[in-house]
Amino acid sequence: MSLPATAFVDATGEPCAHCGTAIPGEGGRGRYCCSGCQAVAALLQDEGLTGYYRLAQGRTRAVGERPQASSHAWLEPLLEAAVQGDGTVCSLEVDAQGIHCAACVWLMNELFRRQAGGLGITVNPGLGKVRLTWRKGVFDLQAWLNAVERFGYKFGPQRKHASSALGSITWRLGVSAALTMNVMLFSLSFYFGLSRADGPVYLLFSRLSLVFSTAVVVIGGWPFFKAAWAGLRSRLLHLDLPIALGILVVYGTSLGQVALGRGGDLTYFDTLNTFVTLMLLGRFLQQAYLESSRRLLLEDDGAEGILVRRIDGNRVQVVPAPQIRRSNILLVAPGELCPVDALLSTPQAVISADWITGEAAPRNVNVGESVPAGSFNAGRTAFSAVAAHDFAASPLASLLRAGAPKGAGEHLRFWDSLARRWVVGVLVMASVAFCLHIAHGLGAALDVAVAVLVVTCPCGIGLALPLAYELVLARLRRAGFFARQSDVLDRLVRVQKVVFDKTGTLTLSRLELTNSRVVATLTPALRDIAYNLACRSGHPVSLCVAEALATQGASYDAQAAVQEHPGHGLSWQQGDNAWRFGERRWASGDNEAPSLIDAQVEVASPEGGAVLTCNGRLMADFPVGEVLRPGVSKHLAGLVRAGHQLHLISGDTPARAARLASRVGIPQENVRARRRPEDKAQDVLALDASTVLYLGDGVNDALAFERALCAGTVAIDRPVLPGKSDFFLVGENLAPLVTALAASRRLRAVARRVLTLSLAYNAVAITSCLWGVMSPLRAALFMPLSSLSLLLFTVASLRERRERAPRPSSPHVSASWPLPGGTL
Amino acid sequence: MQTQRITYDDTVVRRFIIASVLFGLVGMAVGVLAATQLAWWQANFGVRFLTFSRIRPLHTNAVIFAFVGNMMFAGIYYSMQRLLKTRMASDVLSGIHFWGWQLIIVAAAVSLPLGLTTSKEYAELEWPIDIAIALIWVVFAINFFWTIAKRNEKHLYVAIWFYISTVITVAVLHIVNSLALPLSFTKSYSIYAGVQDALVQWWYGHNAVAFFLTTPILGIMYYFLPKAAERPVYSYRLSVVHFWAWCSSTSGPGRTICSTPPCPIGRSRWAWCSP
Amino acid sequence: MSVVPLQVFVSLLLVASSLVLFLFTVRQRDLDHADRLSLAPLEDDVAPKPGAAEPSPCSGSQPRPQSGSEDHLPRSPQ
Repeated sequence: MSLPATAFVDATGEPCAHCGTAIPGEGGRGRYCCSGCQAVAALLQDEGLTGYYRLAQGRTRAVGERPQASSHAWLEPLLEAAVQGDGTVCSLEVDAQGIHCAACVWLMNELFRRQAGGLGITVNPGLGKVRLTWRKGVFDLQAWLNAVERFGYKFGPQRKHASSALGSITWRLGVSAALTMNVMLFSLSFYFGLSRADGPVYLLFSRLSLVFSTAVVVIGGWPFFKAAWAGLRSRLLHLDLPIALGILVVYGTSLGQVALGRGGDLTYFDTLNTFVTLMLLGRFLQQAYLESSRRLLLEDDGAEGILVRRIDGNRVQVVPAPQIRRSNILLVAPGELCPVDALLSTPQAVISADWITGEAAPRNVNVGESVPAGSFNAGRTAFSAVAAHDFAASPLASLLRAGAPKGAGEHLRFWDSLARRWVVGVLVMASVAFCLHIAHGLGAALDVAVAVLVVTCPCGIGLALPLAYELVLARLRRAGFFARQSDVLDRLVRVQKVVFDKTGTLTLSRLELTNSRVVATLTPALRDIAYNLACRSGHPVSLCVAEALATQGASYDAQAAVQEHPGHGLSWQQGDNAWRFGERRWASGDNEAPSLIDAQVEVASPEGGAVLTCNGRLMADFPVGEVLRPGVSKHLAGLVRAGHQLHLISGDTPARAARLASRVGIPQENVRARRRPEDKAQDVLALDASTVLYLGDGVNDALAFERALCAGTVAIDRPVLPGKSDFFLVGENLAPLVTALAASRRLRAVARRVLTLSLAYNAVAITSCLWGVMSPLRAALFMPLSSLSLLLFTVASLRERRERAPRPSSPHVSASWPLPGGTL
Repeated sequence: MQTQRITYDDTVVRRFIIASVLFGLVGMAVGVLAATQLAWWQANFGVRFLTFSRIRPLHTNAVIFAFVGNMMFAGIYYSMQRLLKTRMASDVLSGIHFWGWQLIIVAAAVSLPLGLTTSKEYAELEWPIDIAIALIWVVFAINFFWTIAKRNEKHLYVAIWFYISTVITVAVLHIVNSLALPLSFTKSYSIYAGVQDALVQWWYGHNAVAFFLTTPILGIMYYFLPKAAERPVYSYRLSVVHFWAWCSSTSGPGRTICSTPPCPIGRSRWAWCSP
Repeated sequence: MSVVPLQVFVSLLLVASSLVLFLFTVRQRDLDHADRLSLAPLEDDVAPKPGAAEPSPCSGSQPRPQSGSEDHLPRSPQ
C-alpha cells in the first residue's frame, strides 16, 4: 500500500481556548472548537473556577456538545438505600465519566466543598468512581451531580471494577525491574574481572545471578509465553512467538554456560533481563493506556442498565427494562428512554426516535398513538404510556444483547506472516550455520548455531514497535481519538470504505435554523411576537426558533396571553389579530385533525420547522433542520483525498438523507435510507465488511457495529454504543477520525522501515556468526546497540510535524497534532 | 458512622524546628572552627577538646544528625499527619522521640570532644549512645507505623513511601554497622576488622547518605514543593516510578564506595570490592 | 572477604522487603489514585474558623501555622 497524500484539514490554526485542539474552519465557536468547550469555559469563568486550567497543565480535553441535563432515574433507588441507615451520615459510590486528570478531581472536590452538608469526597480518577459522604438531610446529592454534569461529566450507577490484567503486568514489571537492577550489580563485578579464582564470592554472585535471572524469565517472560502459546493454538501468530523463543534460547544458552562452568562474563543474563524488563514496560504502557481509555466512559450494562419508571398502584418504581411486562404503565421523564412499544396515555408528547430509527426531527404523538420502543422523550414534561408487549419482545432487546467479541481477523495477517517468516528464517539460518561449521567439531558448530539464535532474537523490534504504537495512540488521545481495543491501529490501516450514520453522527443532536437570515430580516414587531409565542413552548423546534430570535434581541412580554395547542403550536389573540405559531397546516387555519402530518410537513417544508401566521396569512417561515458537525465537509473531503470511499446509511427518509449527503460531499449512489438495524448490517456486509469503518451513534447501528472491521462512536453520552465500539471520539467534530486514519498509515510505514532496518542488522549479525567472528560478549554489545538505534529511529520517524501559525495567505494547513501535554 | 474532629500535633514539629535551628548554629560554628584549623592549626588554642580530630566528627554529627535530622523529623511529622489525615498515633511517643534525640545529641556533644570515638565515619558515637539511637529509632518507628495503620487516607502519597524506606533502612544500617564488643562503658571494638570493617562502614556510610539524607528530604520535597508552587507535581506517576526504582536498587551500590582508585590494585581485587 | 556475603544478604533483604511493599501498593491500586493524591499537598493545612468559608487550595493563601490544625472527617471503615 503506497503512502497516501496527507489528509489536509482546513483549520484556522488557532487552538481552542479551552482544550487546545484546532478550531475547525466552519462551525467552530469563535475562540472555541465546539459548543461544549464554549459553555464549559464560560461556566468556569462565571463561577471562579479558573484554577482548573492551571491544574490541568495543558491536558484539558474537548467537551463536545453542550452538556445537557440528563435523567437520574438510576440514582433514585440508590439514594433511597443510602439514606435509610440510621445515623446522620450517608455515603454512596457512583461511577463517573470524563475524569482524566488532577484538574477534574479538583473541580469535583471544589464543587463539593461549595455545597453545604458535604462531609467527604474521594474521587478515584484511575477507575472513574466517586465516593461521597454527607450529612443526611443537609446535602443535596442530585444538585451536586447536576452541578458537576454541567461541566461535561456524566454519572452512572456503580458498575466499573478494576481489571486484573493491568495489576498483573504491573507487579511483574516491578519485580523484573528490581531483579534486573540487582543482577546488573553482580554482572558489573564479572565484567571487572571477578573470576573463579576469587572463590566463594564468585560462586555466590553467579548463583544469585542465575536465580534472579530465572525469576525474571519466569515472572517477566510469562505474558510473552502465554501470548505466544495462544497464538500457536489459534494459528494466528504474532511477534510474541519469536520473542518468547528468543528469550528461552538466550536463557538456555546462559544456563548452559553456567552448567559448563563457564559462567560469569560469558552469560547473557544482563542483556536478557534488560530486554525482558523493557519489553514488559512496553506492554505495561500499552495496557495502561487501553485501560484508561476504557475507564474514561461509564460501563454499559446492556438491557439491565436501561432503567425506566413504572407506576404500580400509587407508587412509582424504577425498574430495569427487562422487567417490563405488557400493560405496565410507564412514566417517561424528559430525556428518558421508553424501552418498549407503548400507547400514549397523556394527551400529548414529543418524542425523538433518532436513536432507534435515525429520524432526525422530533415527532408529536397524541393520546392513543404508539410510542416506538427506543424513543426518547424530547419534550419538557413527562408522559405516561402503557406497554404494548413484554420487553423480551421489544425490538430493543435483540439490539442490546452483548455482541460476540470480534475475533482476530484479516487485519492481523501482516503480523502473522511476519512472525512465521521470522521463525522459519531463523531456524534455517541456524541450521546453515551448524552445517557450515560442523567441520570444526560438534561443540564449535553448536556454539555458532546458538550464537545465531541468540543474536536474531527480535528484542529490538519487541521494544521499538510497541513504543511506536504507544506514541501514536498517545498523540491520538490528545487529538480526541480514544482506542478501546489494542489492535485498533492495525484495523484502521486496512480501512478503505468509511460508512457514516446520519443523525447524531454527521449531525449534532440539536436543531438550528437552516436559513439564519430569516430572523435577521424580521421587523422588530414581528420578531417580538414570534419570540413571545415560541419561548412558551417546550417543543425542540420552538426552543430553537426562540433561541435564534433571542440572539437578535427579541424582548419578552410577560403579559402576553398565549395559548398552547398541544401538537399544533401556540396562539395569541391581540385585538383583531389572531397570531399563530407552529405547524404550517394548523397555523394557516386548517383545523382538520392532522393526518399523515409528517408526510405533509415534509412536502411543504422538508426540513420541518414552524411558521408564523396572522389571521391565517403567512408572515414568517422558520425552516429548522439538523446541524452538521463543524467542519464535516472539509473532513470528509480529506478522507476522499486520502483514498477512502464514503458511504451514508441512515434510518431517516430518502429525501433527508440525499440532501445531507449532497451537503457534505457523499456521492448519491453511496447513500442508503430508511434502513432498519438489520438492513444496516446487511449493507455493511455487502460492502465487504473487512474494509469497512463504521461510525454511528444510535442503537440502530449496533448490528452494523458487530459486522464492520472497525466501529466507533462520536456520541459518548448516549447509552449502549460506546461499550460496543472499538474507538470513540471526544469533541464535536470528526477531525480525530481523519487524523487517526492518517496516523495508522504512517505508523504502518514506520513499522515497515523499522523491520527493514532490523533485517539489515540481522543480516550483518548472521554473517558475522557464519564467519565465526561473533562471540557472546560481542553479541551482548551488539544487541543493545541495535535495539537502541531502532528505538531512536522509531522516535525520530514519528516525530511530530509541528506547524507554525498559518500565514493568512495559505488556506490549507496540515493537520497539526495539538499541544503536547504530559504523557504520563 | 460518626464524624470526628482531628487536630494535628504541631507542637512536636515546632520543637524539632527550633532544635534544628539551634543545633544548626552550633554545628556550623564548630565547622567554622574546624575549617579555620585547616588553614591555621593554632586555632585549637592548645585545648585538647578543640583539636581537629575531635571537633571534626562533632561537626559532621551535629550537622547530619542534629541539624538535618531534627529538620527532617519536623518535616516528616508535619507532612505525614496531613497526608494521612490523622494526628500522630501517640503524643507520648512523639515526646520521647524528641527529647531522646536531643539527649543523644547532647551526649555526642559531650563524648566526642572528650575523645570517645569508634572512629567509624558518621558512626563515631560509642556503644551506649548507639543503643540509645536504636531505642529512640524504634520509638519513632512504632509511632510512625502506628500512625500509618490509623490513617484516614487509605492511599499513601509518594512522600509517605519515602519516609517508610527511611525508617526501615536506617534501622537496618545502624544496627549492622554498629555491632561491637564493648570493653568498658566508653570503649568498644567493632566486630568487623580491617578491610571487612571498611567495606561495612562504607556500605553504611553510602546508604546513610542515601536513606537518611536523601529519601526523607525527597519525601519532604514532594510535599512542600507542590505546596509552595501551588501546583501538583508535574508527573505524579513519574515520582512513583522514581521511588520504586530508587529503593529497589540503591541499597546495593552502597557497597561500591570502596572501589574508588585508592584501593588495592589489581583487577581481581577491585572486582570483589565493587559490588 | 567474608563480609561481602553478609552485606549482600542484608541488601537483598532490603530489596525483598521493598518488593513486598511494592506488591502491597499494586494490590491497593495506589496508582489509580495518582491524580487525586497529587493534589494532596495543595490542601490547606489550616482549618477555618467556625462559620467562615474555607479558602480554596488554589487561592494563593499561605498556610498560617497554628498549634493545632483541624479537619473534619467522617470516621468510616476503609
